[in-house]
Amino acid sequence: MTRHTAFRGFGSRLALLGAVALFAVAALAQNSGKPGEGYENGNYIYQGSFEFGYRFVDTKSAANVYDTFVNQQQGPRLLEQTLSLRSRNHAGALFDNLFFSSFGWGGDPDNAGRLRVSKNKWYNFNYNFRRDQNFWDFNLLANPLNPTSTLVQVNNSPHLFNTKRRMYDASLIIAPQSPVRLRLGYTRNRSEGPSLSSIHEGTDTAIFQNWSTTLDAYQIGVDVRLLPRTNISYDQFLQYYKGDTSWQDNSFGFQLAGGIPVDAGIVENLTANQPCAAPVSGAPPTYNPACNGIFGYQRTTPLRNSYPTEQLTVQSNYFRRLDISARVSYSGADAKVSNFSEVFAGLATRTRQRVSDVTVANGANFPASSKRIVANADLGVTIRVTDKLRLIDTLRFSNFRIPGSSDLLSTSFFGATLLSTPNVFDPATCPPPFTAATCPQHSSSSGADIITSHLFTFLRQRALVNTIEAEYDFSHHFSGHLGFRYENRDINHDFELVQDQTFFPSLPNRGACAGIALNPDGSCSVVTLDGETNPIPIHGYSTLFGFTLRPADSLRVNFDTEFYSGDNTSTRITPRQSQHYKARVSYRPERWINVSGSMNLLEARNNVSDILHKEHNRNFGFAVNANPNERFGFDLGYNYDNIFSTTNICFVSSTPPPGLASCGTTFLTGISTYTNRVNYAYGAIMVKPIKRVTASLGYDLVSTAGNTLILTPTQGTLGPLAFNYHRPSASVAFDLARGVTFNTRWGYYGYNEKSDPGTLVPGRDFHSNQATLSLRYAF
Amino acid sequence: MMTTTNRVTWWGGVSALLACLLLLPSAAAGRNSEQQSAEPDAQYVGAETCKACHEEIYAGFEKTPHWKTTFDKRQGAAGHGCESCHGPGAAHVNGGGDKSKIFTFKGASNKEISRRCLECHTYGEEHANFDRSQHNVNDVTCTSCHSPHHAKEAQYLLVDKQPQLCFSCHTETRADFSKPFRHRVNEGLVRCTDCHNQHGGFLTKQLRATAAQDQVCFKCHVDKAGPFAFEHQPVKTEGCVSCHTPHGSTNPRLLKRSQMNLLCLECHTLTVDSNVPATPSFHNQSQKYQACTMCHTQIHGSNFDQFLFK
Repeated sequence: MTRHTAFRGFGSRLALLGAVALFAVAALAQNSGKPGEGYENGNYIYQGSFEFGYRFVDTKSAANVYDTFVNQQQGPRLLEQTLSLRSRNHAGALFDNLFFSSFGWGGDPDNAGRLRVSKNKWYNFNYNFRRDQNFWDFNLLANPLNPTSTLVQVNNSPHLFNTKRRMYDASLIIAPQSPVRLRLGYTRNRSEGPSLSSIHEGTDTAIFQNWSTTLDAYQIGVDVRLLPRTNISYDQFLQYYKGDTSWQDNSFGFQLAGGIPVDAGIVENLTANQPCAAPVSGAPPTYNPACNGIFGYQRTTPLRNSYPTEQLTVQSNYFRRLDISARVSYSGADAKVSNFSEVFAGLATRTRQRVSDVTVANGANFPASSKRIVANADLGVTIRVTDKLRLIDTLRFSNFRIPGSSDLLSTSFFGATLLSTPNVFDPATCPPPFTAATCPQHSSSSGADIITSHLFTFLRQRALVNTIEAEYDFSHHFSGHLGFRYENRDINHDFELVQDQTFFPSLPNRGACAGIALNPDGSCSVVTLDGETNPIPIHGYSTLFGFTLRPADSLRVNFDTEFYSGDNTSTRITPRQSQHYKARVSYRPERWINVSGSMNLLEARNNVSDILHKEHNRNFGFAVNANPNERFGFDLGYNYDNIFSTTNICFVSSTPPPGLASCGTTFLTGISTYTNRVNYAYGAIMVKPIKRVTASLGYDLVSTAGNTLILTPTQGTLGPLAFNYHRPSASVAFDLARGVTFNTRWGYYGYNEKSDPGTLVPGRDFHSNQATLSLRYAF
Repeated sequence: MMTTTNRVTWWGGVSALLACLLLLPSAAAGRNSEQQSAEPDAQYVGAETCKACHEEIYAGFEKTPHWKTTFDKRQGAAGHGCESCHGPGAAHVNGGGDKSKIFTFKGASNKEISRRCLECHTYGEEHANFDRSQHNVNDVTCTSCHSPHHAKEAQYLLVDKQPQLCFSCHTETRADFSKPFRHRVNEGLVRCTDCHNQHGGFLTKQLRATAAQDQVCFKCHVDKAGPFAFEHQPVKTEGCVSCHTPHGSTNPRLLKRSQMNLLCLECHTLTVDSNVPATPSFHNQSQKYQACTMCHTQIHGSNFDQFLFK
């Protein structure tokens, strides 16, 4: 059976499910108490529910996109479950309260379990388990969009993922109400599974990426509250990360003469020699050995990181008019790659590289290592000058530096074709004038035969941000705040590269050895040095203003603005000036109804003459939620989001859009424009026409339109910039017996891109019907 | 790891700060504490007296964690049961249930409501910055989200479940999480409070941080945290949001642009005022070079290649 089975065998499964449901109803109804009230046993009150069912799924068209967006498949499920045990006198033997909830068991892409256990003065224990299946395949991403596709059709994203992440979080507080309490924590984050990546070696090819990462984090902390309303906490964290992801080429779709399997890569552009002008000929089809190709590729990089962190926190409102919170922390991360191995066999025609082997440099302890040293200090102070006036100051100082180094030894062998054996340089077999056939077969573009590289990098940022605000209550119904934020950031990003390069004959005076005297054996050695230092000082100033209007307890209106101006940026698309306006209205005349509205406007720019970056994000929305009684309720809302950006760019294109000016040889200037208008609307209505039946109907729509600069003729589509995504749903629930409910749900997912998907890649539209039949028991 | 000199310097400063914070209150002790000027015990009637009239409310209260305050022996009557929140009830009882003679949350200013809750709930970092939080500044108080007597969600006494509770004000966020590419918040896998501290914090957007004081994104996306020998600078200095929209997007990988090459070129263009390296002249955008991450696969940082190839 495929993953996207139609309603095959629907009748038989329905009959089976019905029988199970009736049996369960008969069994459960006999024992059920009042639904939701729970029942008592000893000192505990037990409450809980579980919902078991079967989901039918029928997906048409782009199943991979359905899996990327939704990924709910067919099969039996424990849809949700809760269990609560509450001590009647709040003095249970082992615990006073226990609450456990979970959902998604049986194969759903997202499932979680959450447990809370507590005993009044003794302990609080929380445990969360979360698992998500991350299937991801959107074929426009990382796709070479080959102009012709007779040889290689890239229908899926070369960066497809099908991994699982499991996260476990446990925390224990001992003596939670005592003046001294102890906190312990443990977190584990494990990701694993198959995925694809790509590598550039002559041509580009998709490689199998066996994902495997693990993070174990431990925490021990103590809170001390010896003074009234003053708390001092100390925490020690240790995070330990293991990265064991490995990469290898597993796709050899072509054969050389003699049946030798070879990977032609995923890029087909014959006029650009990708993989070459005429890659396949003859019958049976034989791969041209003078083309770019790969026999094998493998890379392992076991990575071990540790992040010990210490943190001290003080919070006090000991003084009635003063509230202080301070935190200092120090973290010293240490990352080491214990081993590095990269082996390539194939042919890169431009350089004639046939084999390369990269490993740790002689004398180096690690192929790569880095540190991240962070010292942070935060201080928040609120001074209640009068009952109506408050002064608020928040200071944040953060200083991190990341020194890194990489020490690698790269050895390469060269040959003219995929079938030629690469020669190893030996003065005995390759005497002057170094033109013998037994010499390494270099071209003038071949790189060095041996490279020992030592690269040092350093990234640092020291940031100080201080926000001071005055907040004043003009009346019980109106308050305002006015403030100023100062930001000072110093960024340094430096690198230094030292390479010891050896060029063997033939053509030893190539590359960095051009014009340099040869060694006695005919080889050439050179040490190259490259480096760069990039200091970026940034000063920014913001004015903050806002007010809250509360004409009645049921109505609240908030308005906030921030006007920012900076003298520098670290990226071209980071604003130097911005204006941000936010407004929210919340109206709750009765407990059963809530009406809210929001406006969020961001206008920003980096108006340097050769960047001229402008952007805005204008968002408006409202929502109404009403549940006047148990028999009727509705929920509706609408949101409009207008995203716009324009930036001057320089690029190279052999088929550029018309009318572009030059911005340097071969480069053309253009304006990267991006507009995206998103309309989102939803509505749901619930009715209970008779006592035992609850019905609901809903609709959820995301409709987008937009435009962008398209530099690549083969793109041919706006893709996800313009689409409709429909999600209607309906459900009927029948209360069969006390606490027993039979649920039927239907949901539809329809994704339709508005622009033509083009002919290079399959379209991404899909539609899917889901039907779920389930039985819920609550006690 | 920290050197001995650095450690001594760092913790010396920390100790000095701590000493100041400890000594200041000690010096001023005895002339401020509001708790110390609280009403005498005679003005408190005890929870059982409240129950006599407010039986239904008491029945609900009995099921909540707040009922544990009736066990409290240390704070006296002021920290006991109903009156730990509503204040002394003797005048209210003697007045025949006169509502004006006891504190009621209905009609009280939001600042007053939060002040009362924080009397107990400031133990630890979670609530330590509520006074300076965006919620407090915008007059969103504890009872906007929590309901001690009418909670729909027993856990944390919330008026609604997450994320619906957050969406009731943050309507634009609901729209974001309904987009095709999104974090799994609607599905229940991720909660708003996993990334944001709703009670306030030192970071903008009330964001949380990892244990190592890095961006909260790295709590789940651990492989992106580094440190790397070759960092992609904006990841560490500007944050993930320089390329991604964290809640949801119409674009794959939650990117800010629908075509990756434009996102890259907007920074990697030769500019007088920017030190960011420009794309080389052979990056023909009509060909495969439009797929930037096809070659620059380790776009978040690499240990082996300055061009983030591997």
